Amino acid sequence: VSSPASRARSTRVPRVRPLLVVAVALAIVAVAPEPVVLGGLRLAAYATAASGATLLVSRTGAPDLAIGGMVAAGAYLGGVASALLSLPVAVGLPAGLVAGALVGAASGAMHGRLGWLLGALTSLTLGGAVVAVLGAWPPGGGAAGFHAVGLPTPFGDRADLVAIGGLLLVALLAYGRTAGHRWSAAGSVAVRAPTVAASLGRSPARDAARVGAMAGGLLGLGGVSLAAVDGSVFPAAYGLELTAALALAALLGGPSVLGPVVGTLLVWGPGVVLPLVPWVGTAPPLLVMGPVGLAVLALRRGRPLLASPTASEARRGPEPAPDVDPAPTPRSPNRQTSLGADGLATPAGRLDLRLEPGEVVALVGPNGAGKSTALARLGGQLPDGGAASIGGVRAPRGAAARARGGLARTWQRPPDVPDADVERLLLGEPEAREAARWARGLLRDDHGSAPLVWVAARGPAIALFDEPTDVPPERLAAYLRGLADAGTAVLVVDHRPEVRRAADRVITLGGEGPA
Amino acid sequence: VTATIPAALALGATYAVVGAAVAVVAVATRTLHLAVGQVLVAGVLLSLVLGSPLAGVPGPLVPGLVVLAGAVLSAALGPLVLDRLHPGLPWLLGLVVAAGTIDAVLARGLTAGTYRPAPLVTLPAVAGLAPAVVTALLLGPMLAVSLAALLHLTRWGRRVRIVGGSWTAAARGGIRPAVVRAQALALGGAAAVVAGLLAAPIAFVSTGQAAGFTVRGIAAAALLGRGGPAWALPGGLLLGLAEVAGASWWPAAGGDLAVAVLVIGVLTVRGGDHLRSWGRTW
Repeated sequence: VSSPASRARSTRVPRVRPLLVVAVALAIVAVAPEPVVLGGLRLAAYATAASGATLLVSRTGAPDLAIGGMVAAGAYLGGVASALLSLPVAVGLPAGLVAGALVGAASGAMHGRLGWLLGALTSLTLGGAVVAVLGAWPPGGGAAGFHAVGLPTPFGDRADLVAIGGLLLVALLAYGRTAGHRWSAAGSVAVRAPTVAASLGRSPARDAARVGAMAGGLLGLGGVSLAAVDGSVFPAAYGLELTAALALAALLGGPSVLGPVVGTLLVWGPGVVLPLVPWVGTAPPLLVMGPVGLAVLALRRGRPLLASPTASEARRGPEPAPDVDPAPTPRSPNRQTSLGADGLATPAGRLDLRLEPGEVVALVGPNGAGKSTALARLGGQLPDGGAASIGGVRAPRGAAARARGGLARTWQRPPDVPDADVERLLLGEPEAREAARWARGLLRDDHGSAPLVWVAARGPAIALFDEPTDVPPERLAAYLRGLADAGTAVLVVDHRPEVRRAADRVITLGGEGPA
Repeated sequence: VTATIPAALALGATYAVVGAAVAVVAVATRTLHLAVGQVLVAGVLLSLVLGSPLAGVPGPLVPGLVVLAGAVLSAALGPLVLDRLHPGLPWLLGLVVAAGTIDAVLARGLTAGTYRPAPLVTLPAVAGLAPAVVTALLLGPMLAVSLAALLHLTRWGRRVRIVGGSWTAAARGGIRPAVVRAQALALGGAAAVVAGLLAAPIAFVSTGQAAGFTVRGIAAAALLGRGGPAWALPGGLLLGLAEVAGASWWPAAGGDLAVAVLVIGVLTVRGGDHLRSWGRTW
């Protein structure tokens, strides 16, 4: 079994060596001829912003289209406003960071609330509104020739590169720390599958907002850098083109610490590093690199150019579990309790149900009878009209509240979330790790059993399983019995004879006779 | 008020057409047509260029040519983006990159000059309303309802729904999913260009507004109901009213702000319903 230490290593993004590589590259650029220094300045500023985009798009999986708005917020409030008020850099930089973080938090919260599809719409709306409002501000309609936050030093372009490059290193360090943090894992689950996050007892909106704020802060910092390098701020510069270019850089570079730098070099490099090539040098980045970047992604089947330990772990799934001593045991719930349903609405009619601790009940019925609907109503994913009760009292409203009350569940279709991220959230306590070890040892399956391992790790008072047919029935039967013996009340939808035989009772929904 | 409200509704009617187009594509692909605004703007700019004295294209041919161009541009996103990338996040971001690329091409490559956009159809003024407003008020709702009927009442619409439900099942059932998806994308692109031609005489249409049209189109489809083209009509009208009200309050950014508040507010409050309508989560 993978030890806690090895799992911790697998989700940690290595960050020291990549930073050294970037620092050395910046040092080489700083002593290069003047045009290279100027190109390096712009690329460093873009890479700072790309680190935030990478955290959102590549690490968390959020199609957040407000990233242009986050850069704009940083550029306007950290750059223009600071320059107008003659604020020192120590104030301007945090102002840009906070401005970007506020937009990022709002956008992230909506992703957690609505999911990635409608989150894309609301983030696009938010980003457009932010840029429109900032652009309507009289000095923001178009400002040129100012020195934002004093970042362009009086010592020339090489000293500027040291300052902007230093900011880039800080951004990459912050990205590396955040990408391997529990926050990012929580944000990843919240954005990719808010329903799953809620069923784990988490608040998807809060988790996504937190990682959105972190990313927005980095993007705001990038906005300040860009404003400082360009010495100008125009609303049109923060439109969909910038958003698309940052998203492309994040997708191409991938979630490793060097990903933002590699993505930036690919997207903006041709236009910045090769100014001597007339057509490439003057064309907008996406005109050249948009089709090329999409082609690269297509050829690599969507895989980024740089892999990361986190991503490879997520693809691989949990490692198989050999038998070890001492034999792990299932986790007993903190508080044993019962689950009830009185007249729960299903397509096949009303369902009455009583499920006691230590009991395994199988729920069967024809297709369309409403077995999954019943589980969704009991789990809090669908409204139950007050029919569900936990411990004899009316169940709290919402999936997250029921999960916090000790209810856990799996889905008929395994959720599309990285296993490593969910385990990062669940396997913090030794009891959880031991229970996960017990479940893995029993189920001995790779991906299909992962949600069952998550349930076991939580030690739930009530566990609901929706057709976990990826697991062989005899192993599933032993697993369910183990959970029940530890004190969990188990309800499983499964038609296989082995599972039905292992159940204490079988309830038929939509078949002959009353449920 | 008597001039502003009909103009707002006319603008909203064009958003409804874009929303209906987005909904047709969403049913076929289970993703959002994030480049629909760029297709719309491309059609309008192309119509201005083709309709200019320099191009010399006969006026009656221009709308047909630009609608065809929008259909081809939108349909090309299937093989260029959707076939190349995985569904989900890569599709969405691929479409955004495609939209950004179209934006870049339009902004630098297609200069429309200062030609006045001609109405798509010249209808007479009614009750003091400008012909362009009357045209949008009549044709916009008709188009949105027609797209809804096409999707829900015809054999082709059934095929679109089957392809969106399961590509594999559609193929096994004798449907050519790639063709049906291309048809849905083409129809969406053509409808977007028609919406752009309706909007051009009553609103400012340029590359700067492309993302705004995308937002309003998708929002129109998703705002009130279950993500279908029929619901795009009241959603679009509501957005038009909100935008004009916001712009009258704060001309510089009130329109965008009002739309953002309406879209974000409604979707945030109704989050669960929309999650269920745009893709089952279990």
